[in-house]
Amino acid sequence: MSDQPMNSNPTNSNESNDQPVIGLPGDERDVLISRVIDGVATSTDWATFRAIAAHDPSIWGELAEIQTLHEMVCAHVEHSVSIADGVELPGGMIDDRSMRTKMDIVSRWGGWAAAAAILLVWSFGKPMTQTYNDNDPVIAGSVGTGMFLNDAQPNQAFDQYLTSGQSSGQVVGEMPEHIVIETRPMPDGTIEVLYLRQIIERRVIDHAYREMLDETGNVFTVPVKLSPQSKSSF
Amino acid sequence: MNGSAFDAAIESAIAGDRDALNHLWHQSRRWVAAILLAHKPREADLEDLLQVVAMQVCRNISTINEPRAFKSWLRTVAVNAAREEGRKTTRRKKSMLRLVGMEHANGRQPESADTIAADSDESKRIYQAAMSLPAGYREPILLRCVRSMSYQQIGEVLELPTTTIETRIARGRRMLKELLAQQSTQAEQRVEAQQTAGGAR
Repeated sequence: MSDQPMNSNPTNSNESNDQPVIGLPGDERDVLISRVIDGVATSTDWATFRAIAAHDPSIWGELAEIQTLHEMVCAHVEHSVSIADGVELPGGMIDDRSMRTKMDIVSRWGGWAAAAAILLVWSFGKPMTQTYNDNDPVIAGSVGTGMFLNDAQPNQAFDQYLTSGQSSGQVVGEMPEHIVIETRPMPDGTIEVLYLRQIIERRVIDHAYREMLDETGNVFTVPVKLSPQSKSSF
Repeated sequence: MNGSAFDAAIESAIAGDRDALNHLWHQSRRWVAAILLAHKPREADLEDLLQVVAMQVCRNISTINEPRAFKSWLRTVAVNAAREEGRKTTRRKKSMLRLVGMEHANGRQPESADTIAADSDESKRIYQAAMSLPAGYREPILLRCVRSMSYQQIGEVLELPTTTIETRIARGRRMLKELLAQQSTQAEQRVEAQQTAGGAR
């Protein structure tokens, strides 16, 4: 990458400021337009710009076009980087925004928990310990082993999700490693640990696609043809 | 925070002052996000990467020897975090297949914060074209958008002279304009070819 800097004044250095050149080399013209867009053009830059525009009005269109591109890119960038306002240093001060961020993270990583709850409801329907008639209200969250999900301890409910998921074939198992997100010492001397538990689930699908990138970095999907390698499933 | 106060905050943060470190982070996190945008894989989550950088800042701030190197050090941390995510993404793509229909089954499409910003095809096309510029041009162009960082401030982050930053931004904008014009021409040619093929039938 050649980074030959422009003159501090993009006006041709052989010309006096009173007689700005009509045309400029491409780079210097670009810098001149950029300075106008960025609001850092000097009075000399403006004089040069007007002199060029007097003979080549297309520079106004060029300025407008690049200004529009700049604004559209900046709108995207400003929107994207605004998410940084909610990211605090770990263990730092916790304000509303950082709490929202944490809740976002929890909800994102908590997807499996919601999925587990849905699976439980789908798998078992009504609790086995009660009899129902059609007029009874449906009690959501029963886990089917004589215990309601609301009554079960989290570990019990989780174990039941694993057990029933494995028996139905939808859960392969749990990874042995727990991924620590954050540790925080508590006033009473204990340590609070936030961590992830990883569950491997299984699903049978009709088609598989692989994600690829094209030459401009865009993601697209390619169908994958797989040959059966085993007659049995996992 | 002016320059000398910022430098003083860096020294305090290096010495272990938590409040000073928070100040530095608040002053820097938006441009750190822009650096991550410029280097991260498209599908990587910007917020997750910011958390990674924040953690690295807390862990390693005391390793900085020269306070003036703080901005370039922070940029390096961000670039490394983005590249590491890129390597992970590549590994994942090689080893995993996408489960088709999962997103629809869950009722939502996967999207990251920066793709949410794409609210029209045209602005999305322009943003993506900007992101396809070489990193040397993409980075200063994106930084310039962060609360209108000055050429000098961008130069401090990228450790480049102000004149070089100015040149790269100007050239980058021209390249973006030319790239979009080229894409439009190609799109028109494709439409013409399709129309010709349709007429031939």
